[in-house]
Amino acid sequence: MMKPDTSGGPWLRINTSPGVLFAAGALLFPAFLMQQDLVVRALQIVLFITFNAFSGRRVRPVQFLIVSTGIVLFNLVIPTGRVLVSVLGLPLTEGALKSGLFKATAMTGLIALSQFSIRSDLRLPGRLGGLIGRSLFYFEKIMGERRRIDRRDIIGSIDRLLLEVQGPAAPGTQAKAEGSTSTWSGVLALAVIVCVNWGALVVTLVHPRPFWG
Amino acid sequence: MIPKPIPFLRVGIANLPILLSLDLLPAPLLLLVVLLKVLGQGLIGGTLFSYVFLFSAVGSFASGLSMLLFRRLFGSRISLVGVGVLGALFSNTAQIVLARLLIFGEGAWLIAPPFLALGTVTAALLGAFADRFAARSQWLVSAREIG
Amino acid sequence: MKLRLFDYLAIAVSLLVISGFSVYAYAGRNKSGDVVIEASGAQWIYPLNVDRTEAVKGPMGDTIVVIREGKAFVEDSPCPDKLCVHMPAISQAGQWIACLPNRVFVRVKGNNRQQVDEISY
Repeated sequence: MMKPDTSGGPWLRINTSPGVLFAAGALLFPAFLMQQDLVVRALQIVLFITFNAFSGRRVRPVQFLIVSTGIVLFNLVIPTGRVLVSVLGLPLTEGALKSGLFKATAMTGLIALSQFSIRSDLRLPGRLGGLIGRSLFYFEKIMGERRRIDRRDIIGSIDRLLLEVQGPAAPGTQAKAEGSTSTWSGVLALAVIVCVNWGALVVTLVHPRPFWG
Repeated sequence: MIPKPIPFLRVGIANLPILLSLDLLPAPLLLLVVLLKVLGQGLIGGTLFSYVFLFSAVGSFASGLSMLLFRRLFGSRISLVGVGVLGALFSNTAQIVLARLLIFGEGAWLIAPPFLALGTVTAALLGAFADRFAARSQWLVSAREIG
Repeated sequence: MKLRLFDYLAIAVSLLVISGFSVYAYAGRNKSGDVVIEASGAQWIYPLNVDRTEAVKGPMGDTIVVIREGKAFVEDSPCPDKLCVHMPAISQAGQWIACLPNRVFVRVKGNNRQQVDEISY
């Protein structure tokens, strides 16, 4: 799911610090959530998914489609509103469809948004952040060695792995990850994105479109 | 501090450290481990802003709290299998309710029985594995000594 | 693998809860039925257990159908006699209200079948 850090990596990853990216995500979060227009929401989702590529995270759109279809189907089961078409005795209604699409876009959009704005090397401040950092350090170490787990002696091999990981001295402070300071172009790009999304929210609230809004 | 391997990305397995720590840690520390697990998964999966994180948080805390309760309540008359099964029951029920409110609407109830059934089975298996691991593990012994 | 007493109890409780949900989800639901509104060649379906007000368009104007407290009735209609407004609220499968001048037809569709006494008006 994550590409290994290569120097000269994805544009957003280099040009923004994790904190700034997180702040941008936090600002985008309400702008997306409050957006009522289904078409605009779909556009926003596409936007967020493409930004994932710039942020260095490979996402699988197939997964989003499956999740969305599931949510829409679950909502269609309870008919509400104008009947659009009847399939095998189950009436598919406009109200249920809109409700389903709204919830499906909420689900997938938020996932795409947070995946693009939260980098794995984001560190929360304070002691909690430090704890998380150390936990993830151990986690990554274990994951790195997991080939050593033997199916035939699962418990024994996991046990040995754990003992070994614990052994050496506690991890020192990690070197700062690449792109941990922002450049002006990165911050500017994020600011533009945030403004566009909030602008879209204002426009659709003032001029809601029929049916889709 | 003892290393706590936390966010195993497979859904059920992530509960393994919690199960193992039930007897090791006092309640506040255990809940801290749950929090670390939830936040860790959120950071790695990058899902902090989404419903996924909410489901994970609600489910993990529901199971963590209920498992703590039942372990303390029933002591040696319940093994990690039963504790895990009850934890899964609370966790999955809470998540179904959340799904009903947020994403599925009334249709959520349709998936409730198979979802709960699957959760019960995997929890039982995980609990059995945790019991055996706890019995045999050297690492756990050293962890007990430190903690 | 030795299972202890409360392990069995835990599993029993889980099975009980799962059965409860199964009954609720697959057998006991939708007792209240749905309202089907037909007008202008289109059809609308609304559950009886959610209060709402809908304006149904007909050739003469909007017929206002209200769903409240598990019953449906016509609150207002542009027809001259307003017969439909005076018809009693419907809640059982098979019952219906119609506004013939405005070509609006409201009926209850559902699983509950009860003997309905003759309605005279």
